[in-house]
Amino acid sequence: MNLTLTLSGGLRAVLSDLPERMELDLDRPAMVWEILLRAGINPGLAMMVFLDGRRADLDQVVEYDCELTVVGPAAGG
Amino acid sequence: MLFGYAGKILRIDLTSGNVRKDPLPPELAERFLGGRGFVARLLWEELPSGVDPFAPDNILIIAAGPLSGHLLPASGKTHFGTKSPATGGYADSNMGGHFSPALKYAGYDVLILTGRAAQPSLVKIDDNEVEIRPAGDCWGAGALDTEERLKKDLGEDFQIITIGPAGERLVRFACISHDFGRQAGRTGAGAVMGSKNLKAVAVRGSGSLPVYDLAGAYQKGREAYQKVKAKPGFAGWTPEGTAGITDWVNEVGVFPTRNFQTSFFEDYKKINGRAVVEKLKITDKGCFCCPTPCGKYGRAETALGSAFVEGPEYESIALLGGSCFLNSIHEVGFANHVCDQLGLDTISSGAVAGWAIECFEKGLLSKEQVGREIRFGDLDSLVYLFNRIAFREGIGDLLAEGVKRASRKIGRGSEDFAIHVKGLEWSGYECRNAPGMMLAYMTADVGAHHNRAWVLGHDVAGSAASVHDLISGGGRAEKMPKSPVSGKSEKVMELQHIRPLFDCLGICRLQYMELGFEVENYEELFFLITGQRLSWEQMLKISERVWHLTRSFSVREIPDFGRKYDYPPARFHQEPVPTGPNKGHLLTQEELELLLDEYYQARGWDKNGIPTSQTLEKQGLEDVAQTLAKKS
Repeated sequence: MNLTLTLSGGLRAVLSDLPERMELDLDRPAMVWEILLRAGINPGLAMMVFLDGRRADLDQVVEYDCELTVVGPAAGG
Repeated sequence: MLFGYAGKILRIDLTSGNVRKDPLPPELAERFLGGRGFVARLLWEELPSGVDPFAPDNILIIAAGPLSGHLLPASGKTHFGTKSPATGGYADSNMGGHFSPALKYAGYDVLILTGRAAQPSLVKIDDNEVEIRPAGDCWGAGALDTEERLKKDLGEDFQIITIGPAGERLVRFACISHDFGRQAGRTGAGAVMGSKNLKAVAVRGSGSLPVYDLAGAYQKGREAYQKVKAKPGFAGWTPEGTAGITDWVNEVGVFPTRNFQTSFFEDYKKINGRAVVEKLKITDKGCFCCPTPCGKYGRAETALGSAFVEGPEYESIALLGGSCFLNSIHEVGFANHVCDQLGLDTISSGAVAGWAIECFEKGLLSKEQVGREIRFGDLDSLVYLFNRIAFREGIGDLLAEGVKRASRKIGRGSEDFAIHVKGLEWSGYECRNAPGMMLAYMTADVGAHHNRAWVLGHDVAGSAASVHDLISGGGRAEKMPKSPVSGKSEKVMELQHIRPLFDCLGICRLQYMELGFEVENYEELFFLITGQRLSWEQMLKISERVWHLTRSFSVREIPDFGRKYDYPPARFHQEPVPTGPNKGHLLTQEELELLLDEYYQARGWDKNGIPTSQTLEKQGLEDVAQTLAKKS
């Protein structure tokens, strides 16, 4: 299962050594937060998560090729 | 020629009616860039030391940046500066919208207002023509109503800033309003405008700006706009705007709730970004040239009435929703509208109302003093308080002074839960387990405001939850581990230079901070527009200079200014968080001292938080060093 992980600027401002885009190869279905941990991302930093553009929860299971976008915390106005 | 800038400073003395147009000094642009940098430097140079914030001699400065009004993402920011009626020290506040582009097209980078008009007035700037005219029946009207009236009278193409009844009555947290829902909300600039008998400024500009490489700047600006829209997170972040963070701040336990008694609100999903989108929003609303419209214009329907409102954005949700315990997004939106119409800062208003309600619950304010019962979670209580405050009626006259002054008058321990730093009420992040953010609040130059350095993400990243906790919490830690305290100053300082740099440039930071629009784009756009090659690091050095200058301003203006002005209220170091993911956490007094010790040392300030002569001279602020040396 191939997964593209993209990280928002707000997240990369905290995790500055991670690239904007990563390709991950998963050998089994996994929950979103497990995937984040595997990519070196504290799930607590995920303000919003999108699976192929649709809002997802951290405990949602990913079981197909997709793009996972993680939006990091961002300050108020 | 100064490319990028309009090239003039417009000075209006409201006492005499004199109008003067001075060339923008090139060295001011070179050393302080624009916007916040102009405000800080001009306040230092031109404000008579020791002046009362409400005296005619106080000055109100409105400044654009070098990139304001140009065709690049989100270049509509306007900066306001004055001596703060809330803190007595340095004050600035920033708003989006369309005002600074219009000001520059009219020919001015800076507008300096001095004196006091003999009667309620408004200023009309139509390119080269400047007129001070009677405010007429606008005086006394709501801020939103006034803008609507002036748009009808003068024309839709005028950009207008105005105050509401709160500014007219010198409420110390009155804001300046613009574009039917944008505000320069913080530090009481609206009250300074009111003290000058100035209801509104309307500006229309039809000129153009000199651009070093017009074709290149246009092309690059266009590319930048497309790049921002292609960024990961754009499609996710934009629909909810800043309200989208409401879930996260609750899940990590930093949401101010019941006047910051705790940091988690059980009903947060009723007032989050999704609630805004699903229940209130009619349309997105953005500022000048903005590809990421964070404004959500909608209609709030409550038992007390209905209203169109821009927002609520996150800060209003936090202070009116969480801190005042409203669990309906319609009610939060309506309270937001009431503040907007009255010309009250929603952040300070929520903090003041929360404090008053807690005082009432604890028997420190009686029903007779307040005029009725007031309760958390009750919209009617808030609307009552906000109207009393704006018109300084009854209890409102005390509350209009802000929580610092009001709590000193009430006493009996109410100071411990008056949530402010330096006299400015705290914005939307509870920090008993967020030491970096706590330090950012403590050392923000204007008081307890989040937009100088927002380091919550770093605090959360530094508090590693165990895998076991994550599994049991579905990826979220049910209990946050204590975040390490030491070593926070470097990141806080870095962000205290980055975020205010955008206020110097006159553009919005959201595209960079939230979406990761790269700094190289800003360097290149700055070059193509101004013709000056400045690296991002060189710009940050200027922002650092401004930081030392604003601190020095407060040292000059507040007789006993120093370390004691940087402390948070006792609640944060004496009361552990009672509920939520951060239950049990607090920062001890010793930990607060450690945060300040490390920060002052890294800044080159003495143990009392005063910039040393050596530090100021290193920043090229020799005149500032001399002034502070004389004072000491």
